[in-house]
Amino acid sequence: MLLQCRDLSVGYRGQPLFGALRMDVDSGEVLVTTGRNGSGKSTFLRCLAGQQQPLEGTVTLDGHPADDREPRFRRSVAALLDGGAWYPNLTAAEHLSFVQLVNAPMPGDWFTTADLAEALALDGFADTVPGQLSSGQRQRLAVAMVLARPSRLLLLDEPERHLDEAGRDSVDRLVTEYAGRGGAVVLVTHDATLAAGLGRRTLSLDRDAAEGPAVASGKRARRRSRAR
Amino acid sequence: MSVVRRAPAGPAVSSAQPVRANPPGASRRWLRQRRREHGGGAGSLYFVALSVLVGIAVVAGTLPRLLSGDRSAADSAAALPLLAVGLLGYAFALTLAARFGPVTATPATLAWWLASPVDRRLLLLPSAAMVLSVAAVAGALHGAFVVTVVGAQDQAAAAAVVGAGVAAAVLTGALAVVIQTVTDASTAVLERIAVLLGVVAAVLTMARTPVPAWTGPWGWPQAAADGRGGSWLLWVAVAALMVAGIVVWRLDRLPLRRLAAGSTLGAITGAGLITVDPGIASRAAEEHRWATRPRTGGRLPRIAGPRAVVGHDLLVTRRSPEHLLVAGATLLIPTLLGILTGWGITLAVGWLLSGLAAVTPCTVNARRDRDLPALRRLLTLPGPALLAARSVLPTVLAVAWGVGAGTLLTARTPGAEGWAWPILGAAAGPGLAAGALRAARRGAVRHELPPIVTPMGILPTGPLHWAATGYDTAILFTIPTLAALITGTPAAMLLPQAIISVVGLVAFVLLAGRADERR
Repeated sequence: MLLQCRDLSVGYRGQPLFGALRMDVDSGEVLVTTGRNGSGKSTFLRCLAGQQQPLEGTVTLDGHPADDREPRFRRSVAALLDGGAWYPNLTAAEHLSFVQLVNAPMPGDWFTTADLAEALALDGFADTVPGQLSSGQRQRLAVAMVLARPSRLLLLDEPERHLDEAGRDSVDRLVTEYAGRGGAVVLVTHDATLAAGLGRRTLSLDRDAAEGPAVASGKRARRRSRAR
Repeated sequence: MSVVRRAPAGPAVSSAQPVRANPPGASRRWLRQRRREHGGGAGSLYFVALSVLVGIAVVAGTLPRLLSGDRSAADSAAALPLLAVGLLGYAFALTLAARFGPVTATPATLAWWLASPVDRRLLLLPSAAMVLSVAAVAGALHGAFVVTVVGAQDQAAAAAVVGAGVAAAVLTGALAVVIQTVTDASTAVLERIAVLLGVVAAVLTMARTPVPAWTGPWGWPQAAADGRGGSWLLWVAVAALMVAGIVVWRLDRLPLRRLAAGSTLGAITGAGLITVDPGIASRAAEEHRWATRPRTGGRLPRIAGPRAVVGHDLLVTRRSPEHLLVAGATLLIPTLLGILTGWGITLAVGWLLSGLAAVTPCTVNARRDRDLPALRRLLTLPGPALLAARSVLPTVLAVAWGVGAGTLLTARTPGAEGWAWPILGAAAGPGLAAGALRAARRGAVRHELPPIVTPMGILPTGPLHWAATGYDTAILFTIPTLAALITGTPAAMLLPQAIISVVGLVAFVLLAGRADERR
């Protein structure tokens, strides 16, 4: 199992948002996380990304604790959490090239910059700097950048924000393709189309965690996924 | 008590009547009244009164020395450097004028006052008056500087020099506003003039043949100090008044689009002042700069790994030729200070500030990496490796700057040891780069630091701490060079400077890079 959460409780200043969560995600799987505003979805993702300590419980990646300070962990996890980040002096196309150049050598079967530019329709603004892009175009660029670097676990927090329908479809296809290449995805979304992708498991923090210790792995989660 | 005030009612515009612009006076009075009601009246009055008193005390302490007449004649050796200083000052002022307008308006004024049927000339008149006033003050300071350096025969001669400075600066400021009213390309015109003045200053710094000072407003105070006063000065003052009159006449021809860019930059600068956080303002200004300029040439070098980070810095430098021009211009400052003041603390401070000003522009990406952990995660480099890569270009530039400054200093400063200064400058380069990188990576102002209570009010230490960050490291890592600039003896400082500089930079990269990983 690639990603495991055991007895996970997350929150702020000692106040848990949810507790006793058990969850597994293996390579090739997409786990969709849903929940009402304030239910702790983004905090949950930050814990998975090793950027925040859970109140209780453990998060492990390949058996090692999730810790953003560990180089090996950072190399394995790509995350788009709080909107995109970019350099104001590079164009959209240069951002993709730069990320891949710094991360070189890239795995042979990884997304190329051309793949990502085509999938997210970046060509129309490839030579434009982020300061001149619309919110939707910036979000496309942010998604492309997080997919440009090689990783084994992809964490996406509402990647559909600011995107039109075509953009959401592109993200949907890329998430499926990422999983198809052997990566694991944890996706927080309010978009029904993204959540209902084929074969995706769903973790609802409202149903599975708020009522107490929840188990979102195995049969229970798959049962919900089929029920959709 | 009601906080709602009725705005002044203007005459309704009828389609049958010819449309005339309304005078803005009534609205301005209303706004002033509102500000008075909401402002801290007693506190503001106390601050203004104390500022005026301090200003009077400073002027009263300085004027007698300026106008004492104890300096007999102008020093001919200082003529060319002084002219070069004047040129650099005018280049700097024109660059600022190009960036801010020079006539500008607040975003609120731009959005609804200037777009409404209000007399634009009257509306912009305070802004134009502010430009000319600032120019007059800067010109007076220029004149006073000339008097300080070359002296004056008597008080009347000193007053003529200061007057020439005021007239020259007002004429230049007024011409800049006229250019703004004439063409959309005013920013480019003013910037090119500034570059030209900088180049001429560079040539003059190295030239040994005399050049007449009266060739431009940057030299008129000097020309007045040389004894060219009287009717000539009167004609300059008349010309300045006439061009100022043209400014007033042309103000209503100023379209909104020529005010917009300067207005945005002014708002960013204003936000930095209001929040007492220059870092926020400089970051916003950097983003604004890239978002509003056309992309100019260059491609990301196809080099992989950490070297790609260096390639990114190189690309940004190539796309910012103005930064290299600034670095070139700052090379002149230690040389000019060396000629005008000789070895001493002034030269050391000038060298340090100039060096940091030259290197700082190429640290913008290091600042971005520090600000946005998400970017560092995308690059997946260890913190020290990423910062080490980001330090390459600043270090190379600082070493090159140090060699250049040392060479110029040697060439033009009497008594300089020829071979040692360029080497010492190069040795200090890594230390300067470390200081520039630390300054670039400053976070937000720490407003939680305890304030200091003074008779002039509460002095917040957070902004002071912010301002000192970076300069502290640069001073620490370049102490041998600063000591050499004060004493004029560089040879003994070479080895200590090389060791301190390199060790300091390596330590900074390791410590700051590891701190990034923990953040």
